[in-house]
Amino acid sequence: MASAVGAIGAAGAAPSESGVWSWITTVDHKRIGVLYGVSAILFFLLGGSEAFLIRMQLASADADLISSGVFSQLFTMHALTMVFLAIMPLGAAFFNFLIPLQIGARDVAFPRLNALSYWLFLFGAILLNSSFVFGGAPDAGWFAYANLTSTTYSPGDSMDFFTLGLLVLGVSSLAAALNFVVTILNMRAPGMTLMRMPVFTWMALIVSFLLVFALPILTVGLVELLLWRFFDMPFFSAEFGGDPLLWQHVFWLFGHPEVYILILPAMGIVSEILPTFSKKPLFGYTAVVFAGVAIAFMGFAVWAHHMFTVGLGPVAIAAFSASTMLIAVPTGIKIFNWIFTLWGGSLDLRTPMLFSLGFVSLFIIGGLSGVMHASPPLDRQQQDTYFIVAHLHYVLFGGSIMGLMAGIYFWFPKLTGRMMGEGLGVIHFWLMFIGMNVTFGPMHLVGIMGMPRRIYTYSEGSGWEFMNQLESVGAIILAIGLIIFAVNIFRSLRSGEVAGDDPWDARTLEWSISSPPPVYNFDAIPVVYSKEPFWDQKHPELAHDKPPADAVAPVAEDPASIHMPNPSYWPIIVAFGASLMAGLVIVNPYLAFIGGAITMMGVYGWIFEPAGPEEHH
Amino acid sequence: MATHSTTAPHTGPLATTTGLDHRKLLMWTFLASECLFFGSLIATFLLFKDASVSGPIPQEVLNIPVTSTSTFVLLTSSLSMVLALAAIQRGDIVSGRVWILATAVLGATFLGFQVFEFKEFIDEGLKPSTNVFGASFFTLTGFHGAHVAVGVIWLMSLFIFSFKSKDGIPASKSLDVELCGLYWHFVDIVWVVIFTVVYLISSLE
Amino acid sequence: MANLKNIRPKALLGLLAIALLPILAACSSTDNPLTTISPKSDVADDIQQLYKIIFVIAMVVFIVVETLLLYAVIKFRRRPNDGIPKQVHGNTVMEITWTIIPALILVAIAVPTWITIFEIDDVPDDAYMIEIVGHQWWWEATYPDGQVTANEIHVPSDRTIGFTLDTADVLHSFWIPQLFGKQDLIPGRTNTLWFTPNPGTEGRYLGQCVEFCGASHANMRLEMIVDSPADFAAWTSGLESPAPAATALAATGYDLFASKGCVACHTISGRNDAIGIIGPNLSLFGSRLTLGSATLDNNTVNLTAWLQDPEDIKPGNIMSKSAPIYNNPGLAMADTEIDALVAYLQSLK
Ligand code: HEA
Ligand code: HEA
Ligand code: HEC
Ligand code: CUA
Ligand SMILES: [Cu+2]
Repeated sequence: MASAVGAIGAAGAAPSESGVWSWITTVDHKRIGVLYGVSAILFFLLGGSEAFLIRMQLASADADLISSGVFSQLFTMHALTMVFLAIMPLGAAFFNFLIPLQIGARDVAFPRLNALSYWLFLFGAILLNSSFVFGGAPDAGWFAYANLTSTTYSPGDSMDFFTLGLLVLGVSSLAAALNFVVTILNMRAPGMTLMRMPVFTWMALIVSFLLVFALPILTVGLVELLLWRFFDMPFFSAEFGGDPLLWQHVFWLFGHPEVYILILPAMGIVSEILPTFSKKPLFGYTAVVFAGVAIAFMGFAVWAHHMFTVGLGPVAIAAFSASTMLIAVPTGIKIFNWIFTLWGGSLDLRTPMLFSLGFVSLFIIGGLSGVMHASPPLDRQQQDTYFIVAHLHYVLFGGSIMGLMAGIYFWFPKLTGRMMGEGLGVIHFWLMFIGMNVTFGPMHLVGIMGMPRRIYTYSEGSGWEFMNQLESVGAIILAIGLIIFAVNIFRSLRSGEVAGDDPWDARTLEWSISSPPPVYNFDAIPVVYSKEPFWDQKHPELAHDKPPADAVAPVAEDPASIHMPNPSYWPIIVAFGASLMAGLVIVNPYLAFIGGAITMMGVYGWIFEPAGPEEHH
Repeated sequence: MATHSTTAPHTGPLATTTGLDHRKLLMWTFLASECLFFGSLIATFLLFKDASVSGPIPQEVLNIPVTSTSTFVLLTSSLSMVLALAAIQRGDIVSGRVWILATAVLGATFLGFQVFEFKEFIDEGLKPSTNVFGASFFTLTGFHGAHVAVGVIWLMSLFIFSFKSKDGIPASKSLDVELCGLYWHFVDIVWVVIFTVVYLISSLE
Repeated sequence: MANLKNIRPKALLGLLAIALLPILAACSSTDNPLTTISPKSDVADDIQQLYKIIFVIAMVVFIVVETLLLYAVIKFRRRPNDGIPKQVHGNTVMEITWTIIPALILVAIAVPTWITIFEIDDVPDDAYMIEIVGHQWWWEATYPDGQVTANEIHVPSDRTIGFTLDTADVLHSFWIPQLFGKQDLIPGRTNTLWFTPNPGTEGRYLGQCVEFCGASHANMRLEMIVDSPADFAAWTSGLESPAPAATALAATGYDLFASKGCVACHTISGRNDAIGIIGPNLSLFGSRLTLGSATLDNNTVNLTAWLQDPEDIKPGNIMSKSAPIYNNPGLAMADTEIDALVAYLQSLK
């Protein structure tokens, strides 16, 4: 049956190597990774600019720069942008680019599904941000507690953009996660057992499972919010027997696993970089992997630590307090293993290493403040103050962003064939490291001094003026650092030093192929005998697990005979249809059928398009 | 994907690491995710079934005999799904088509029952917006119904496209049917849970 | 990166210096009215006690782990003729050690935490119960004997005070850091909270709504005034029998308060025409120290500004949204009328 409609697919998907069309129809995991990465960095700058405006307003007491209404939109969209449009897609960018390279595969399991994930992400992000133009962005905070989100207290469309935007983004992430699970479980090079997988791939697998299990919970919450707002179904209306707390339970049952979704990719990245720049294997590989698994499991049992003040009763909060504190154990295991990876090593303090060390040192601070508000009595004094804002930025900025930056500097040469400028990189690092501490460090203090979060103004005489001014100066330092980062990327793309295949003397498979990698990644699928196959190949005398004496080197295939999946425009059509459907719901739920029809058409076109190697085994 | 794994130290001649087809593993993982989706909806229902401030309450509207019948229909469709897959795997074109069609028809019958049930409830004064029981009931069973509907469309697509070639769906493509079957059985099992939790337990109290 | 050794400790020292000053300042409650570490009640003391324990533990862990990290970075930095270091893969004893030690530390945090949770949980039976209702964006308090006030809540210093917490609209959170930790106000449920003022702590305490509740969340503060028993008794009886308007201007204001529609939303005890419940109860308003739920001092300038344009002071508030005087230009008030209203409101002592 494939051949009957094969002509359609073939006509539309004539392979071309460059140009906009080739990017729109690409199904190459490396290119999709680039698309994710570039979009995520742009959204990061957008979310950062929103934060910058917040900081300018808060720089002085009784400031008049930004009105209360706009301020609420800014902090809501700042968080949504950073969480859903910057860090998660940056993680996806790394997953896309690296997983097949690290496991010795030629692509992901479902290349077109992969493209669909990206386009859904992009359109969902556009939908969410289009609210700024159509009458106001969501303004109830990123966790949007009911019943402030009802049609009574949030009339207008802003909360519908929130709901539908996140629904589209959720489908995108779910599709991506399913794809990565299958890719990692099913496409490893011969010999790469689970316990020989690079730690980054392990963390990718864990994050993907977290997404698979956490996203449907958020989806249910969002669906209920949607039905409540559109059809008066009283899920969160106390006067009809509904319960506003249901939203909080659902949101945080998703939301807490979500914060580990945000941090584990960075932990994976750091677990690759520290060994490389110490010239030692990761200390306690097994412990680091299982600590990751444990964090993921426990992440589902702690959600109520965001709800210590809603009145759950002493027994419940005592239990959730204990489960929350327990997470410090596996996290500590990781921290100590990283430190002892450095121990006795030969540390080369290049930019990726600096960012990784920045990650470890700052994440510890964020983790410890986390343990402090895991104690419910303390949390009564800390919740919804800047102490929490400090915590979340130390783990998210000091943690996730620092780790992802490390990854960008580390794998940029593999992606582009050129090194990032080391001089600018070091300046970028120090500006970020110092700027971050100046911005978020004082937030601890101002939080202890009682400054609530989400306030657009505060009075003279509150005792917070100086600290806030300092924080705003920190934001300026961060902005300068990020401008330097942008300059560095552009300069390195044009005139960076040529990298070679293995500029860092690294340890995993992706460094064994050329930079940038060929479309098919590996001409010979490698055979794996150890955790660090490439390092062991370079230093057979030091290898822990040696290949058997009779091992035969894999034979390289003729590149011309390697079939890669055909480009396809169906993913973007399906993504467009689905996002249009979501957008039209806001206009009129019945109009949404137009989007639905486009989606259906896309799905059928997709099914009958010959997909290339994916279909023949 | 050609992995040329003859030199592999421990994997056999299989094309995938686990030996499971990519699409099958995808389906399994997707269904795991669906468990959490329905789990959350069921949890909402349990939270709300007795929380309504005004009626109708579950005992007043639920019609166990009718729903038992539709449940029986749906369970039967799981049997016909098994028969369809078996037929296709042994290359029996005609029975393959018949059982696929039968499964689709049974699924559609179930949907018919559901439409009837929804209409009854609305006539008895239970709309989705009437109270939290209504809201959580219609959301849960509605989403289940939507899943059945997707399954019916999928089955009908398989049925129609089996006529594209006179060989029907060849045994080598039986995976196409098997995937649909996995999905179909899952939707059935979810219904068994819903039937127990929503209908039997709620009407007993 | 030879300069690493120099830069990093310096930067850290600088930060520490900046950090220390305000820590000391944060202890002073006069400069920091919302400070969380200047407890003035038994409950706040309990929390502070726990905070000290956990803070010290966290600081020790912080210093030990960061020192270990910094030491490793400096000690093992690459030197020119470094060879390939020994390839160490792990060590089971060490893994067990750094699993068990943190677990023990956490027990040391968890046990006092649990004790404190139960200590501060239940409202004691003999508490003097005040009903609090949160509104967008002000607070209403009803006393056991039925007196009602808003935003400035007097309590007696000689006994345990309890609160029941409800909301009229969205979620809010009730928090007076020096007296007690926060508790949320949630539609459909009634939460409780309590504290006993420490001896000698009569005075004014600032509080703040700390659950985001819309446009003027930032301006939803409150003040709790811990009175000596005698002052408290005088204040409550004043609520019941307010003084009549004294001056001619205030008398004009009295009439305007009815003719301008203020009575539709505000209650003033002693006036049977003013029984509105949409806005704060204004009985004894003249003796209040603050205005606009503790965002401004209650003086002639601020009160005039409030009546001229409430929207400017509290964006989105219901008075400026719904009172006809503000959204019907035909009914707008002249400055003289506002002066009269100000005089009247200030006479309510
Ligand atoms: C990357 C994201 C991330 C990560 C990893 C974490 C990690 C942790 N978080 Fe955090 N958290 C957030 C992101 C994250 N958090 C966000 C975004 C919010 C706010 C949401 C909002 O309200 O907007 C939040 C809020 C939040 C709250 C709610 C506060 C409130 O609103 O009142 C709590 C309460 O318990 C908490 C606790 C913790 C704990 C215990 C950890 C632990 O996992 C930390 C464990 C790590 C360590 C402890 C350090 C290393 C360990 C050692 C060196 C071993 C030795 C240590 C000891 C023995 C203590 N977090
Ligand atoms: C992933 C997470 C992430 C990241 C990276 C950040 C980064 C930053 N965040 Fe944010 N933040 C959150 C997640 C994150 N935040 C969350 C979840 C909340 C809670 C929201 C809620 O309450 O709902 C929050 C809330 C929050 C608040 C509290 C708002 C409030 O409660 O009222 C503040 C206030 O200072 C703040 C500041 C900052 C700053 C200054 C940065 C900086 O690091 C940003 C640095 C980046 C830049 C400065 C951009 C650089 C731009 C360019 C180079 C382009 C040129 C532009 C200019 C020069 C302006 N954030
Ligand atoms: C539509 C109802 C409404 C009307 C009419 C109305 N008010 Fe108000 N008023 C409110 C509300 C609601 C608040 C609380 C606003 C807030 O803090 O968010 C308030 C607050 C006040 C306050 C501050 C109270 C405090 O505790 O700080 C004063 C004073 C006041 N109103 C006086 C008046 C006067 C005088 C008039 C008539 C000219 C008037 N109000 C008319 C609803 C109303
Ligand atoms: Cu009320 Cu915030
Ligand atoms: Cu959490």
